[in-house]
Amino acid sequence: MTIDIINTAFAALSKPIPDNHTICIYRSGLLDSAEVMQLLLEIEMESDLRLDLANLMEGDVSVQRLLDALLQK
Amino acid sequence: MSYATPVWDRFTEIVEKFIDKAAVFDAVTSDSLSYGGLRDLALEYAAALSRRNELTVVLVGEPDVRALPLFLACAASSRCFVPLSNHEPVARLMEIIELLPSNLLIASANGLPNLKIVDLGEELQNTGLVWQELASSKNDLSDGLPFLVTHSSGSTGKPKAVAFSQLTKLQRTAQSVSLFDVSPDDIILSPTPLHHSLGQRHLMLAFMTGSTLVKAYPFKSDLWVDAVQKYQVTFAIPVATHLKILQSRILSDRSILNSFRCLVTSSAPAEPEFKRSVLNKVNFEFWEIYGMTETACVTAVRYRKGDGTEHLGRAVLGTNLRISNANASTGGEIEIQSDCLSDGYWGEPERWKNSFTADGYFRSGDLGRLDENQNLIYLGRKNESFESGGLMIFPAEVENIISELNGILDCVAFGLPDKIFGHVVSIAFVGSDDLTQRQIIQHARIRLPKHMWPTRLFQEKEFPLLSSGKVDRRKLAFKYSSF
Repeated sequence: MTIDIINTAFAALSKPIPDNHTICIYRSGLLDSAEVMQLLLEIEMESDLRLDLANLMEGDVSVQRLLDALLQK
Repeated sequence: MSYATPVWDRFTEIVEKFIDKAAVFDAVTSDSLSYGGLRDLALEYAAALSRRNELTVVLVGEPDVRALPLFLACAASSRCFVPLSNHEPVARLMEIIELLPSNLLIASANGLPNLKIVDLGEELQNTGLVWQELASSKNDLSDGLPFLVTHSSGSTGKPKAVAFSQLTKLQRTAQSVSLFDVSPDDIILSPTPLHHSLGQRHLMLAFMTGSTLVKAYPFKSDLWVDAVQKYQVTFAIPVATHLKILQSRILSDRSILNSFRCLVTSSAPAEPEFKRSVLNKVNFEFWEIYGMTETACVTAVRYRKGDGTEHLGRAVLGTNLRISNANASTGGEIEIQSDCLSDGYWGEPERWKNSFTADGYFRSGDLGRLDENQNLIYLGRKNESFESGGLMIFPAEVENIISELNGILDCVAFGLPDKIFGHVVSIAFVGSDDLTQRQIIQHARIRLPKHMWPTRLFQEKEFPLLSSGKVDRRKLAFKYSSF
């Protein structure tokens, strides 16, 4: 399950996954920029997929966008 | 034009004392030469060179025992010796050669294309090399003729033809002899090619002191260990990368190095954790030096068990060191004054002049800072540091921390271009099979500030190396530039 991958990635950073899957985890202050990059790295390690970091970071980084990015792979 | 020949003079004094002693062994071919044999060949070659008008000898490729005396023949006959790597593409090799401001004799294993082959007589046929001539379009020796020219930065950019007189070369050798107490009793191992300044340092240390040189080129782990044991090597200045390749063998069987009196790591600073692990296993002198072709040794430190290994020591005698725009957190460029400076960039006086600050310090191109005891902390090459999210990243800081982790054999940090951050911190590593990327990143998060956390990790079986033995960082970064 892709949501499990994202859950695991948040847990690896000791951060709670937000209830609202559409808020930007960066702009909401949940994670800073370095932590967002680490979250993406955790997702990559967990899923064994390479994400388009630059594309993901250009817009709002929400759980929903992360799910979509994983499902497209 | 006549020049003083202090290198040759010193060598002949040594020969008087050690005429039958082995001067050089080749660990690959098992060939050898005594000091007397080396002198006799050098004199034969010098006589042949003196019959020609060309004052510069270019040697392409690593000389075997028969060709090695050419170095001394050039010293004896006041010729300039220019060793070059045969791993350069021919076009680039010709570009380097054509920039030399002197008519040339060129020796190589198979000859270079489109150059006239010349017959220099029986003596030089004995070198086993093909000899060719090239008239220089400049042939301007108004600034004098150096004894030796070493091309630095051979893998990237426009190479610099670093020039040395015989006197300068002898002074630099005296600096190393004094630091490390090199004596005629030493057996010196050199896995470094003669076109590299470290290869020249090994050779000069041996031939100017009456010790014995063991050539074990090209570097291979087995050859290095076999040569150490067969010839009972006592002294070497390996580049840090070679030591790291050897580390699992050295650390698992310390008897490999039983014959050593002194080991000096150099050329690219080794990670503190690696140095600690070596230090804890060995009983001989373990040093690290920092310097470059232009400056010789700038700092030196003999590590002792329990000492910090994060620094590269203090400025050696005859050297002043400072950090430009010093800033405790970010450091600055390392600037150097030295009694052992080279004599310029041959044929490029303006380039040499531009390498100095207005008040006469050589700009190293390296970044560093000084600790409270004036020990140098190395932060990497100026052109290897990069910005990520508006903050400067110094690769050496990332590499030192990642290398603390058990199972990491080698690590290179670099920036991959990124639209948002400018660069993202990336590492390539060589590690044991049971080491996971997650372990590495977890260690990084504990030990590094956030802005240095790697975002991209790449595992390699081994790193590409330059002929000097240093990791080819640009090749690695280029390989991953499309990720």
